[in-house]
Amino acid sequence: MDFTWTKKDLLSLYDLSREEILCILNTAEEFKKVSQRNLKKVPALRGRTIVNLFVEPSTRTRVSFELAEQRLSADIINMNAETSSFRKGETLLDTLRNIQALQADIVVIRHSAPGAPNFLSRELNVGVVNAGDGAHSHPTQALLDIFTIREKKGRVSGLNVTIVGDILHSRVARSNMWGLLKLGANVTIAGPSTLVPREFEGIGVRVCRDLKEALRDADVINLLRIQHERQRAGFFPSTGEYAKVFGINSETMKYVKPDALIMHPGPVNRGVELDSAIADGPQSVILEQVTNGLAVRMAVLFLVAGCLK
Amino acid sequence: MNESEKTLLLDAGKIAGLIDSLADRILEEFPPDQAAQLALIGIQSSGVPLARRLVRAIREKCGAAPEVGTLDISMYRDDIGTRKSLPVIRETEIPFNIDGRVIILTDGVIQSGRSIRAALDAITGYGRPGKIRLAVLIDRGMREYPIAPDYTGMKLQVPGEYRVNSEWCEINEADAVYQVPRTAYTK
Repeated sequence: MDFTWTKKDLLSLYDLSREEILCILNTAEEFKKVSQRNLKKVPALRGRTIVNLFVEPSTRTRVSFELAEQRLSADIINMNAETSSFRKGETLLDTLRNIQALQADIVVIRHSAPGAPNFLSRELNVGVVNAGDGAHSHPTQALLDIFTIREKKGRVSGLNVTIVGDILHSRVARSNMWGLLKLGANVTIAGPSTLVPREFEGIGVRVCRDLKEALRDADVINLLRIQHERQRAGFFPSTGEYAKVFGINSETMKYVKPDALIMHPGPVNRGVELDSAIADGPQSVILEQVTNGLAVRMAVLFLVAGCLK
Repeated sequence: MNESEKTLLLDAGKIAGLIDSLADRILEEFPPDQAAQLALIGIQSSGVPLARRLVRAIREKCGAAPEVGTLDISMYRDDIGTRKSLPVIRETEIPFNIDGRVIILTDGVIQSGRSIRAALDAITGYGRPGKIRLAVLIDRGMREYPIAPDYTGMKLQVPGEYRVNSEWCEINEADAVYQVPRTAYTK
């Protein structure tokens, strides 16, 4: 039986069923083909207006959403923290009410406050797509990661996926864990105890303190960016120290299966969580993740737009 | 949908005869030497089995083997957000260059002509065909756009409160054409 998408928002993979996640992935497969043609544009969202509201800095996610919207023939308004009225003290809700008064159909929002997209979806009669909210959720990133895994490995169920790095502060890690677990993958998280607390075991993942142990059976290794401000906050002594214990380099690659995928949501701190030779090596699918991100975002916007009243 | 509300209009034997006559008419316009250059593209989903059957029939009649592709029109419809439910996107697979080619689009049933309008948009996203023709198994009338098939298996007069569906053994249980009350879809 065909599954029909019914949600006007994409807020978090936590809210989605296995069938809904698969529906997005299957739809994205067809949108990926659109980007491989000479004519890379379809009229699906012609006459629809999408507002990209990026209250927190973003380059690759914003560019990916913008291109996805253009390839769907939507009209676009870009607002970011620097140029918007936020600097004049306007509240988020007031900004959005103004956007709604302009008859926008969908808002793509990136915000530092967890739950900001959920708040907007309750308050406003527009479609809301979460492009990252604090440490809470980044559903399109996880969907493109899972899409890439499924494309490369042919399945997700039963695969061993290891996520290494700052799990505590990572919306990418949370979204990946929710999505991967729903699709039947075995998820291991690894990193310093300050950034990978045991509490995560409660959602059904394995917590591993030893990198070699975490890498050994992994079919997929997803590395997270180590942010320098975490070092200043005392979560680990130095990036050099982090690289030595948890970095992926030619030494630690000896423990990695030869067909394991190396993934990273970008931007990469070369030499910290991932050495250049590995980031640019044959097992890396980092740039394919970027390509797939476009297809996944086209699929999400298409599905969400189809459910607007 | 309640299966008991379906009324059979055509069975598998009748459909096979219609496909055979459609293939004859295509070969009248495109004799065997030209038929080999044809490409039949089935509109998802009921046009896909029709395209494959027509290719098979043409091959059996004259030995020419036209190419075959599939086309999904969901991204090209003009009713996204106004339909009751979002269509499921199915596979588009056109593994050949369509520039300058003669393309025969196929669909199971033509009604409003809106799907064909979308299909014409969709196909030109892949290139610039030399000619496009349209073959349908059933024309049930009720046109809303000025579109007419070039090859029609059969015209059926069915009251407007019924939908006409073509079913195919590749997708459904068997080859058949049914009429179904539109109210059956809202239950």
